Amino acid sequence: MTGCVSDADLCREEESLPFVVFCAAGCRFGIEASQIQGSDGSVDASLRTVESLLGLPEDLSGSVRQRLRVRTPESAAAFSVGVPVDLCTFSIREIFPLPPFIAARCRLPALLALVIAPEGLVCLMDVPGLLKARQVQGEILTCPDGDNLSG
Amino acid sequence: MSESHLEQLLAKRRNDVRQIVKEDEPTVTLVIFSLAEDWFAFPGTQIREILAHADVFFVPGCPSSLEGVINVRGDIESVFRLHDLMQIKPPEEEGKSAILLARTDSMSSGLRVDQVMDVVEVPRSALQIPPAGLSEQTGLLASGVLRFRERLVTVLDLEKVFTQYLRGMG
Repeated sequence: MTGCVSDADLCREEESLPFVVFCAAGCRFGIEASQIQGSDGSVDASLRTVESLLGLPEDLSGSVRQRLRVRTPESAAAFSVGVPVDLCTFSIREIFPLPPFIAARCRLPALLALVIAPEGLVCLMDVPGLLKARQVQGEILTCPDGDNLSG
Repeated sequence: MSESHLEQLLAKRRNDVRQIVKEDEPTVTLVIFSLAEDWFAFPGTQIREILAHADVFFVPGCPSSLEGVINVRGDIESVFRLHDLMQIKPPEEEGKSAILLARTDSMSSGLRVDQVMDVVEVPRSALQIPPAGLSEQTGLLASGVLRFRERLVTVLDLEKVFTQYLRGMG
C-alpha cells in the first residue's frame, strides 16, 4: 500500500478520515481505513473480485491485483482489487453525500459518498453494506482465511 | 400652500409610473434550449446557472442518461441528459451542448441540453396550454407552449421532470 495525502493535510486530524483507495472497472473506490485489516499480493483465481461484489464488468486481463482483507463488527472477508492501492486522507469538506438522483438511480450496492480528488472521482463504499447486498442475493461469502460471512 | 411646479411635475411622474406598472403585462423569463430539432424551455427562476463547459465525473453503476457529477464551486451536482427523458436521441458529439443548473424547492441537478438558444422575457399571456398534438411523453412534462422565432417551444415543468427521473424514467 502506498501513501498519498490530499488537501486534508491542511485540516485538523478530527476533520479528516483515512480511506484505502483502489481501482475497479476503471474507476476508483474507497473504503474507510478502519474497516480494512490489510492488503497483500496473495491473489489466486478462487479469490472473489471486488467487481463481482459491485456488479461491475470484470476485465482482469493483464491487470495487477492485490488482496484486500476487510472486517465488519460481525465478520471478515477478502477480495481482490486493482492497483494502485493507496491510503488517502480526505477532509470532511471533500466528502459529499450522494446527490439525490445518484442515490436514486445508481445501482452500486453500498455507495455512501463521493470525493472529487485531484486524481478524479472516488466512490466511498460501506463494507457491511457491500457484503450484505451479496448475502441478500443468497450468497454466503467465505474469507480465504476460513471465516464465513454469515452476519 | 399650493404645490410648486416641480412638486406637481414629480407627482405627475409618479402617477405616470404607477400607470405604466398597472398596465404592464406580467412577464416570465424563459431559458430556451434545443434537444435535437425540438425546442424547449424552463422558467428562468428555476435555472441557477448555464455552464458551457464543465468536467463531468463518471459515476459507475448509473444509467447512461446519468452522466455523473460536476464540481460547482466546492459543491457537487448530478448531471443527467434530458434527451432520454424526452425520448429524443442524444447527439453523437457534444457540439454546443451546455449544462443547465436547475433547482426546485427540494432538489437540484445539472441538465444536459444540446444548445441554449436564448434567454427571453415574454408576456405571460404568450404561454398557451399544451396542445393535444404533443407526444405522450412531452405532454406529460409540459406546462405550456409558446411561439418563438417561428417555432413551437414547449415549456417544461421542472418538478415533473425531476419526479419522473427519480422514478426511473429516462
